[in-house]
Amino acid sequence: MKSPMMAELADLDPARHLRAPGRPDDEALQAILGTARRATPIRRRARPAALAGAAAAAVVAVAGVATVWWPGSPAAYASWTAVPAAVPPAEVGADAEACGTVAHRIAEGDDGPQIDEVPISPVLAEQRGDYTYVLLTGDGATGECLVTTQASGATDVVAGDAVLGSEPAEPGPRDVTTVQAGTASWSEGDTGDGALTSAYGRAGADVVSFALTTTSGERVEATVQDGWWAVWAPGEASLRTTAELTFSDGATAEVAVDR
Amino acid sequence: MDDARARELLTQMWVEQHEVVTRFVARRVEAGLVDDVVSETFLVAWRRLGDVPDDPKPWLLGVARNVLATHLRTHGRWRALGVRLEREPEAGKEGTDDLAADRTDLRRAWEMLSDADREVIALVAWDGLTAVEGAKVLGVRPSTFSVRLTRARKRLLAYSGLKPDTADVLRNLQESR
Repeated sequence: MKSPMMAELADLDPARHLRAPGRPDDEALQAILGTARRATPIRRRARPAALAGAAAAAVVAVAGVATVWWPGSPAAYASWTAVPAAVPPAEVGADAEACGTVAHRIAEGDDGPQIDEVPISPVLAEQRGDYTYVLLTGDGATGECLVTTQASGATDVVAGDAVLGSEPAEPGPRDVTTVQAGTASWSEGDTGDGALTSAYGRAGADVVSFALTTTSGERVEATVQDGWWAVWAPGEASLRTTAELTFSDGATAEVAVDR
Repeated sequence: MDDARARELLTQMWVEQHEVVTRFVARRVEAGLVDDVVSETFLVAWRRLGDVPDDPKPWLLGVARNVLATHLRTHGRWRALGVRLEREPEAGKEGTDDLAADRTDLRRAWEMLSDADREVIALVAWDGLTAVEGAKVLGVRPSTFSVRLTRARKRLLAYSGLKPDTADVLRNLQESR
């Protein structure tokens, strides 16, 4: 039952003439059906790293890592560097603030889906060229965020967040685990312009560095900080499936990346 | 649920709900973002098929709202989330003068409402939801939704009954806050 006022208001609906019927052969639907239904695995336990030898040690999942929405042009990543610069903790605050401090959980409540906000705070920050990357975590939730300061002084922020359901387990001293978070993966359009590949997770206490290779062959150093690691590179699925860990005693382990 | 069944369910949901979700999103963001948000909404449904209730519409709109909030928050366009209104009609297209005058009053009243008021009204007037369904979209109790709706309608009614001069003064006051 609608009051006359509500009926009258219906005529002011800006979308009342919008026709957007869904068809089974819509490309957008096919793109969704082509993705893994179980999203991306949240966390995979690494196998213990071998003390010696080049045998595959830890298993790191980088496949299907998050690509986040970035409406810029490909040239936007021109200043990206393969080796990150550390961001002093004192300077993380402002960037993290721009990132937002909550992750969103869609929970099934008594009356339907409930949007919960889970507080997250920064655990890692790094800089590649003009881009500051911040990893945020809290209570089984994570967020990642890129902050860019324009020449005009304006700040561009792109961020994604995920609620994992449980806190990622702390790995053994020579283990690495990967946490994945995904938001829109095809928002960049057909060309993939603006896509970026990122990965992050927990790093054991003995892990001091973590290097991956881009699909174009460039070595990329991840940031390892306070038991977390993170890396990102321009482009879609742009990180190769192997990585090298270096431990505090100088030993290294070739890491097989699990697709 | 096996994959074939899952594909069938999502396809059915897409066919039946795509337009509803698209309209819901189109009222809230610029045209260039609509398809992305709609796709992302159905992607969430795909990944959580087991959680989608038998009546998927309120659930999907709730997810779409969340996707929108995330997109807009990260791009500093929170203010844009407010439900928009049809553009001012061109002269001569509104029918009788009385009706046109009513519309103008209603439009002015709508613009004086808060985003929260507009949202509950839009869910009912434009998305065609019941209070129970609207409550699901917002993630609140149906009783809470009903109370909000009643208040929003009262405000809309009160604002639309104002003399134009008074309404303009009030609106200027609100904008200067």
